[in-house]
Amino acid sequence: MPVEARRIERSLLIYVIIFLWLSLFNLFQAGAVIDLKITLLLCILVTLAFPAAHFLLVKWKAGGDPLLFALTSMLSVIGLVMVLRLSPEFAWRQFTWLFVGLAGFLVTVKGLPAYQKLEDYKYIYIFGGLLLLLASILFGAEVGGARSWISLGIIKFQPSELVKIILVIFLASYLEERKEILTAGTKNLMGLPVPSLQYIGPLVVMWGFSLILLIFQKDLGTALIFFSTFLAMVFMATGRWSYVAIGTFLFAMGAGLCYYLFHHVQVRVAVWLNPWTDIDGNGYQIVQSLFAIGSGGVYGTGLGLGEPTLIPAVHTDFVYTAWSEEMGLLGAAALLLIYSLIIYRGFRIALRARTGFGTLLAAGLTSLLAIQTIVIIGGVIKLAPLTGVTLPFVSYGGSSLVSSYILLGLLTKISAEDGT
Amino acid sequence: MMNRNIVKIAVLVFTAFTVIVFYQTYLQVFQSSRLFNHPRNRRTQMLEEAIIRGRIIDSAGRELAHTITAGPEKRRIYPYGETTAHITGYNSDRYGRWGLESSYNETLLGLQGGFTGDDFWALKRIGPVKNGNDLILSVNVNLQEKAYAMLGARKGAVVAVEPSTGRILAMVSRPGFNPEHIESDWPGLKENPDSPLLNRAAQGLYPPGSVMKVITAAGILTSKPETVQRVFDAPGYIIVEGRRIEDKQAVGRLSFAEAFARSSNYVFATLGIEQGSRVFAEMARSFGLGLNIPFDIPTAQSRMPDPGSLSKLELAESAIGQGRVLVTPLNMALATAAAANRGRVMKPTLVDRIVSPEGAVVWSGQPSLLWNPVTARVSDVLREIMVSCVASGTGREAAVPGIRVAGKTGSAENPHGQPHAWFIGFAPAEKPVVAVAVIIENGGAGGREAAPIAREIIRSVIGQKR
Repeated sequence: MPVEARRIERSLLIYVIIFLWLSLFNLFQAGAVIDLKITLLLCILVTLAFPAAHFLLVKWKAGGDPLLFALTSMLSVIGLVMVLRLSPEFAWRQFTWLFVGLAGFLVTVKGLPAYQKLEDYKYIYIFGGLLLLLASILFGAEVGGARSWISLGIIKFQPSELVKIILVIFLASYLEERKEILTAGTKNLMGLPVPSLQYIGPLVVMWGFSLILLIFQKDLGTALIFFSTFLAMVFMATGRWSYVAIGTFLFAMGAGLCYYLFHHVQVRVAVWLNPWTDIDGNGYQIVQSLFAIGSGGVYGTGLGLGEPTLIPAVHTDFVYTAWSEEMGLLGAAALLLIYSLIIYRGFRIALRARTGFGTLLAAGLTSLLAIQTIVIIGGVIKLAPLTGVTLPFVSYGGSSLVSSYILLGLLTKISAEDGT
Repeated sequence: MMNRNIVKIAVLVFTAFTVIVFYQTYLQVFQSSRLFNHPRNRRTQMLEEAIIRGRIIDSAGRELAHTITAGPEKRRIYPYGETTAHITGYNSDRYGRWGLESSYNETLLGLQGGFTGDDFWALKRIGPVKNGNDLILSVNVNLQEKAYAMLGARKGAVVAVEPSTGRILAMVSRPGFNPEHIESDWPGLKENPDSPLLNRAAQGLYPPGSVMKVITAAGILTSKPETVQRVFDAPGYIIVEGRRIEDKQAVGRLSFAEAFARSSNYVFATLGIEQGSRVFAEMARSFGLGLNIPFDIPTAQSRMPDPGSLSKLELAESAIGQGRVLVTPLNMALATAAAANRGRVMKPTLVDRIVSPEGAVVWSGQPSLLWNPVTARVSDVLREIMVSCVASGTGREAAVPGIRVAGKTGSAENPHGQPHAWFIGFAPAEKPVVAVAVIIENGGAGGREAAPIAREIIRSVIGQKR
């Protein structure tokens, strides 16, 4: 059965590779390819890398969800094509990160012992995660207003990308352990069952954790993703809307406080509500994003024929905008459909997992992916305040790509062990 | 239990995705054109940079505006400069666009129907250079130059229109400006108290003075056709509500036609009161006073006070073109055209045809009826009394030997000094080819100052026709 399932993956990967080469041809025709030799080399390597990963999975009889890897491969290829299109000078880096990401995926699938083992060491890696985050706050470099980068010589990485996954693993094991107590509650507060402080304590710590991120790293987007994922997982474990309501209220209070304390938060909100009055200043990026999306129309300008480079930071935060301008509403809908399928498969894995921990872990990782996607897409189309987070698998950025592939590896692992 | 919770979260997530799809559909379908054409969207500028703007050409094929390219530099040339400035308008990166350059921007760029992302895409594929469409105007540069020269250093405006079609043959406003130097001259032009950027012909508002009597006559002839037979005893003044209005130029026994030809204030103030403010105001409105004139370039609305607010004195004053009535020269040219065209006012137009860079006619204007203020019978009477005004009344300076010219003079009192000199008229009376309105600000008597300009325009148009 697992080997049979991988056959679907193989045929889907053929489409992914066809898409890559057609896009490359398209970019070449549009005159958007700068260094043809290197571009060809990189694309040949990618063409080899995806099937190689696939055959390794087959060889290892890894099993697991047959669609996830093909779907994320498609996203990655879209990301590569967009990097080639938008900032070819960064292309080789993104390609390199993709290979690292694929390696991370394979190591997660093959190298990790049974995923249930993850449950046992939760305090070790939550501690590690906190250290990483602390390090980025203390020694981090500020990029684009957010202090969330650690620089190791030529390699810079964003610990928060990895910490997000660590957090989900921790929460999954913690909630699995305590969910009965959390659900029932031990005390009563105004008619609501409330667990005593010793049980809810770690959760309050999580709340503080998110706010610290917000305050010290000025990273509104990551804080939002952290906290939303946290709330989603608490709800999935306990089924209690009251936790979500209280959590939202606490977060809103914290965010409200930040609004009054920090000018940059006020600016973010003002720009979201009405960017048009400040087109030349703070509203510039979002207005340019809206121009690009609107100018694309239903069918888009065609790959390489739009003007998405008018938007600053287009290859990281606004890759979705560039895609929408050049591929139009139809292309954007297709991209959203791929994400929807991945999220659907993710929740499906959660529902089929045999252990509570597996269920919570898969659902948490899927929620993380979904929330991050919603936050960045909602931001660039001005449905929500713009926050500089990456579009999973697509945006330029090594840490994001590698951690996305680790996330994929974990989901694959859960589905492999518990059946699909 | 947990599974149900997961499904709930999944529903939330997919709801968010659905909202995103709907909102993005709104952006890319319903807001697409607005966002693409937003003035701050650099894409439209990039598009324009790739296009050579079309030409603006007069009815005899002379270029009023064209673009020359020298490498990447493009320069807009206006060979007739000030003479046609208020028609062509200007095209400046810094100060925007005005006149035909503004109202026909998409046409001149070859993108009528608005920009779309698809045009942008197509243009990038075709290559860097594309020509826009040319505008062929009804305007004749010879008439423009003649009118501009005759206004001389005086402020004023001249409008000449073909009554049967509404085609504008000349539209001149003085002082003018040179659209080629708009960027360097801008501060001076903006501060100049004479407002050279104002197109007096279509946007200047003036008291009509005695040219209003055409409309007053139309009102009484429509409501009381027998008036044409009446004979009046003009005492040289009229007293309304204790206020004495002087009337030195027409004293004694006057027929209706004589009263008009000699511009009797007594008779027309009386006829204004006789028809009543409602009939008077309705007639003025049917001649376009207080209405928006649809036109190729911006126009101002003539002002007509609400009939309910008119006192008897104000009605008398309005009937002889004083008081609160204000009109644009374009409006008076159209009113004249009504008398010339059996009571029918055709929609005024500047652009005859739009021609593609390959020479194909993309669009061609068709005359259309705008207003129909009077019947053919009333317009016949108006024509005859206007002919007698030029033949034997105040408008003698407009007479052209061998041609029956119809007209009316006006000298509009105003607080800025000398009266504004007005003349409106058309010729030949039996088959009019041109209707003219001339105003000279603080020019003095209309018969002496404005009528000769109208005469030369008429002579010129008829000379060209022969």
